[in-house]
Amino acid sequence: MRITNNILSQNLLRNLESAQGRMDQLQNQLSSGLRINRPSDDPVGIQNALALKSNISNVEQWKNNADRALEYMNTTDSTLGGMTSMLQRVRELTLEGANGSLTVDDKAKLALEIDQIAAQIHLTANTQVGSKYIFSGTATDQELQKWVPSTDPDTGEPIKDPITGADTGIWQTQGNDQDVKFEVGNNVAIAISVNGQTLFGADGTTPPGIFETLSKLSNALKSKDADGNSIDSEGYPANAAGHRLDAPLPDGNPIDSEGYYTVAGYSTGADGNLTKTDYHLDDAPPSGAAIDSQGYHVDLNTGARIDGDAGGAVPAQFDLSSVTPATTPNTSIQNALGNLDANISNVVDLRADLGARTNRLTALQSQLDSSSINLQTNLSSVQDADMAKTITDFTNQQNVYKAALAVGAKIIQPSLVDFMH
Amino acid sequence: MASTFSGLELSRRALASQQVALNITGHNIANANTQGYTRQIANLTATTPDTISSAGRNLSLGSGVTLDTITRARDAFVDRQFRSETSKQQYWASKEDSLGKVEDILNEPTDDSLSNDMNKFWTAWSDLSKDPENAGARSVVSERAQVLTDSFHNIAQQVSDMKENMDVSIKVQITQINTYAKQIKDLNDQIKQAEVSGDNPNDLRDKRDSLVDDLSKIVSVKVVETKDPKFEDRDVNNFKVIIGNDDSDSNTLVNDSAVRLLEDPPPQETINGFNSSRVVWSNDLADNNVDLGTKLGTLAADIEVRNEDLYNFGLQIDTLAQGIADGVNALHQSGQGLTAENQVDPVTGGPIGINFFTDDSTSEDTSEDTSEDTGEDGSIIRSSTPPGLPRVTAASITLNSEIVKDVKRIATGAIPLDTNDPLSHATNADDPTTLLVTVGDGTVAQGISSLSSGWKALVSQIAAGKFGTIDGVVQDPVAATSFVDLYAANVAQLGVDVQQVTRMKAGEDVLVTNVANQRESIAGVSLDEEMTNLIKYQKSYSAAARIVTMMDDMLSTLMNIGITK
Repeated sequence: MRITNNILSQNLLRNLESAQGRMDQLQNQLSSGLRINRPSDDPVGIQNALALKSNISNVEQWKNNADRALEYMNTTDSTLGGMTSMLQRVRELTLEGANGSLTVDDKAKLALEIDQIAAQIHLTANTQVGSKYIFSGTATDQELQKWVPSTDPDTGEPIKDPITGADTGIWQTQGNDQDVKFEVGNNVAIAISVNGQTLFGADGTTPPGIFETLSKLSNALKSKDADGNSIDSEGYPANAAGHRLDAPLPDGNPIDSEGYYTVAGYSTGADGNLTKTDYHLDDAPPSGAAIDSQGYHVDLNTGARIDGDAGGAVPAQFDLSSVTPATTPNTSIQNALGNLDANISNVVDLRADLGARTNRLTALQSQLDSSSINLQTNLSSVQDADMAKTITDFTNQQNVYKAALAVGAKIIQPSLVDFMH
Repeated sequence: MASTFSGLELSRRALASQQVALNITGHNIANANTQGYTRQIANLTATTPDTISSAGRNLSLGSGVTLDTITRARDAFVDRQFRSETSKQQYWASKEDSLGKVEDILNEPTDDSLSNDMNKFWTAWSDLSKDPENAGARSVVSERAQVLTDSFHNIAQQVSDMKENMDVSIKVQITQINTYAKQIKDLNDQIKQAEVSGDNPNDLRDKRDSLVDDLSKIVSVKVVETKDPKFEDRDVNNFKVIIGNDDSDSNTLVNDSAVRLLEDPPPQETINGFNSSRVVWSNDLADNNVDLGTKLGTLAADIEVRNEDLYNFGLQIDTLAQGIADGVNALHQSGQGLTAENQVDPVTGGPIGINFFTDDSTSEDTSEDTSEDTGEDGSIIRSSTPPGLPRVTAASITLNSEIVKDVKRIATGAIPLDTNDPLSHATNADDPTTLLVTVGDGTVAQGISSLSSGWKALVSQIAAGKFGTIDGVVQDPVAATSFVDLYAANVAQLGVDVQQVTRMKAGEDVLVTNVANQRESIAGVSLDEEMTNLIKYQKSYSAAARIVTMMDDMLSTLMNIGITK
């Protein structure tokens, strides 16, 4: 084949270019540290790399979520721990109060501490992590226990306690029973919350909720009933004026403002007809009358009810013989103890359940950690450049390039022209 | 008997011939680096001999040398090979260039890529699912969504820019072909004139061959050179150039002095939303596309990239955008954020939320869209949209402006339903006139974030036809295992395509190099050779001059006869 100067120079140029091209590619790999710098470098590799990156992003996010979940659950756990010890303290106080040798005053002091603890547990029910109320289910913006002050429906003024002068009101339970769930895996959502409604229980259930138990207990220790009436040692309620209040009241008769039982009665008016009137059950029956078992004045002779009494109101002495006394304070305390034990075991059970979930999450977390490492390793093996190999290749390529340059300098220069004079 | 001065005449011819040969050598040397130059050869030939009688016989006495022709060292077969390989190589080179640009558009696997934006988008949802009541987490979702839609817009914009660039490039190439055609025709005329007068216009032919070489880069070329039947006694040729599919005579670009031009600017047509650029002959009444042959020349490559590769690529990105919009919207509709959503679902009649992504033309559209899209840029065609979901493309996918205005409307939890009436929104227990909002419910956000790894959150939506039923689109997202999978498959496919064209181009490079070397070997100027020729002709010239001196001596001797001193 006839070789011309152009063939020589063009071949040299092309070889230099391709050597430079390879150097450029290796240089790219070296400076980026990546074997794949564009999809065409390794189409299969990039498909894997993209999938792995997405996996890593997911796993990192799940780790992140698991961390947050544990934070949340740990707060819940320590709250439950605090609650358990508070309830244990209540139990100690209850046992102390059940001791018959205590005076009524001593018991009332115990009740004060229980009231404080109850207030504290009300606050506990509204524990927040960040801005979330942790016991309100998914209604995380609402307090579980909300204090609703009583107001006069007519004036809108707050109703004060007639004795202490403090605002009156009731605690209202809010929130819902939905679990708060965090996503910690591919479609794995773990409930991280303890439901407040189950934890604190509701009023009027068996066993009653924590707040009902505590308030009953407090009342029992103070020897009072739910309406604030004192209860004597035999279990009879008495009003502020010292009159015994019997429960249940005969025929559901109301007590008037002076503490007298009243019954619906009739009186004979001027027209000779019986007029319905309310009158006091009098201390002493009118002459010739007696009080029947239901508290009615009856004619001794005829046995008929005397429905009217024009004789004016004299406080009656009520016949208590047929009335069952209410629960005595001591019995109430005993009952409260049983309820309290049920409440405590409920809290402990929920805490154990939370602990189990925490353990699961911790296990998941370490799983996520190791899969994160595995995925990173895989990604690295797919997309990262083998530095030792790349550097060696690069040096080789450099040598080839240098050699080509050196030879080129020798080839291109001489032609016959150089030797003619 | 030869004439007395025949010797001088012989020397003169020798001197003249060697001088011409020297000039030709000089011409070769001068053009050693001229593109398309073919080295020329001085064909010296012995002149017709004189007949002399000697000893009763006729003898032929050589009368010296003359320049017969000046020819080009050129091989038509190698030319044909060179052009055909050039067409192939240029096709792959152009495709490599264009597809490489598409690769650049995706910018994988860097941090500034769609895949990364997608990952961050899902992550933001997961973060929000933990703190649905947190306005900060909501803003992050809104920001990430806008980054994602910006990425889609950017890709769509670049695809459309690239399409426009391709249009320009195609137009330039058509213009170039027409210009080459006119130039070749002009050269045909000039060469013919020269040939008719018996000349051998080597440099003009070089120029013409060079033009055909250039033409072969754009489009495949076949040259047919036949003897002009009108001139039997002289070497006069007809030169015909056929482009594209050379089997078809209708693809003749230049026939001697006749030229056929391509329609410039190239026409475009849109059928069923598929917009294509076409190459047609300007005088073709049938308006057929010119058959450019299979994988030959840059023009065919550009047309293919513009009409097919970019279209398909755009479609893939549109599918992804539509899939993400549908998936997110289908879940988003089922939920509400920090404000109650109570639109009426046209299908079930129950309460429904807003869409997360919308088409940029409508801010909030939950109505059924059944119109047919025949976007003039070849955009997505959907004959029916799942009820309540907007149709979007990569260019039009937008975060719902209601959400941009108020991030509280980003749905995180399910719409709570009335336990007694599952078709109405639950109300607050303490105030039945207000709708219930459960701020701590992150289930919808969780569902959306789980789209990063599959369709489990969408099972009921898929069953209800709200996801996966994208008509007229080549891919159904449900066919892949996740959005990343769908996207990665597209990226890998592009990578394979680029890899293939790169390999083909590298192969063709070698072939073209070989043929070019072969051609250079025949037609190229070797300085060594020319130097040798230089010495050769110079020495011959000196020697011929020497003969003149000798003749002069001889004639002097002759003239001195009879002169006495």
